[in-house]
Amino acid sequence: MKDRMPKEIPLYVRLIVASIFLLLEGFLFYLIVFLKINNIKYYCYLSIVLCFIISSIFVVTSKYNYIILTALLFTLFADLFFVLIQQNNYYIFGIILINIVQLIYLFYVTKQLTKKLIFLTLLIRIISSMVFVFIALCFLKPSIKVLTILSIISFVNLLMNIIISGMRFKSDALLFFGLILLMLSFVVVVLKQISEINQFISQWNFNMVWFFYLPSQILISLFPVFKKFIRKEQDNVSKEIPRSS
Amino acid sequence: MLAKKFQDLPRLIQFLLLLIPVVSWITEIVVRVSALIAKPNAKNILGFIFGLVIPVFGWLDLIWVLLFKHLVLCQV
Repeated sequence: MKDRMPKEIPLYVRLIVASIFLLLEGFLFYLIVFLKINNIKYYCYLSIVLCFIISSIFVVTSKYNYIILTALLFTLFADLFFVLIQQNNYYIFGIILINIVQLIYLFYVTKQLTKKLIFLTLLIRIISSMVFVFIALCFLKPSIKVLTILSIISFVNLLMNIIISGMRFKSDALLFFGLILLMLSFVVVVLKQISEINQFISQWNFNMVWFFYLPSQILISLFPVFKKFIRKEQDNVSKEIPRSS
Repeated sequence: MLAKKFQDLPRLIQFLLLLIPVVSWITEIVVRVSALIAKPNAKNILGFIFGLVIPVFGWLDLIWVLLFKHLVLCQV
């Protein structure tokens, strides 16, 4: 499918902007993950805001970039509750927004699938979510919360998005690895709820959640920057093949 | 197979995936596991061990990828 209003941004501009972005994020990554400083939450949120800004700069290069930008906008809102507000009463809003983000990624990764496959992936998502929620209800019955159920649904959606973007690896490589890192940060958050594992993790002198989370957001936000380039190069390759044969 | 698909990626994307520290480590593991499953030979096993235990091994691969478009000790 061709984009309706693509705008060409030269590769060198993309590279310069991406390099500045990576340098800034690298500095913030070092501050957040390895240094224990005051008001760390503001630095964390700043890093996510930067990710949103870089994606919005390159959003005009493809109409599909708007989908990724919307997902990053919802991530920004979700992190407002997880990073800045950090109150138990508000986590529910954060997890609802995270679910919306996963649904947006679902919309993105399934946009080129046939209707049959989209239906199949939706069915697998629903069934596996129900199975995992049922297991959680059986094992965590006294303490089960809406928050846990929503987290399970979000995790299943994330897992399915990884599988589908893996199938479209050539065009979605950055998104694929971004989602894998997001899943790892998710796993660390869940593991930290188990006190023995939390004790073990806290012995390590770095912030393990942001160790995975920030690179995941960096990759997802760089995805619109270089997506056009990937497609262009692949188009060139496909044009050259018949000529050489 | 993911390792083969990784080789077919544009150099710029390969470079990006191997440049960012944590991303580089995860990319190494994912690609090498994929290569190991497809061809479980000594070369791939060695490459997987190096990629797993030496996080900066990704930066050696970064140079290798720029020169030869594939990872060190990774046969697909």
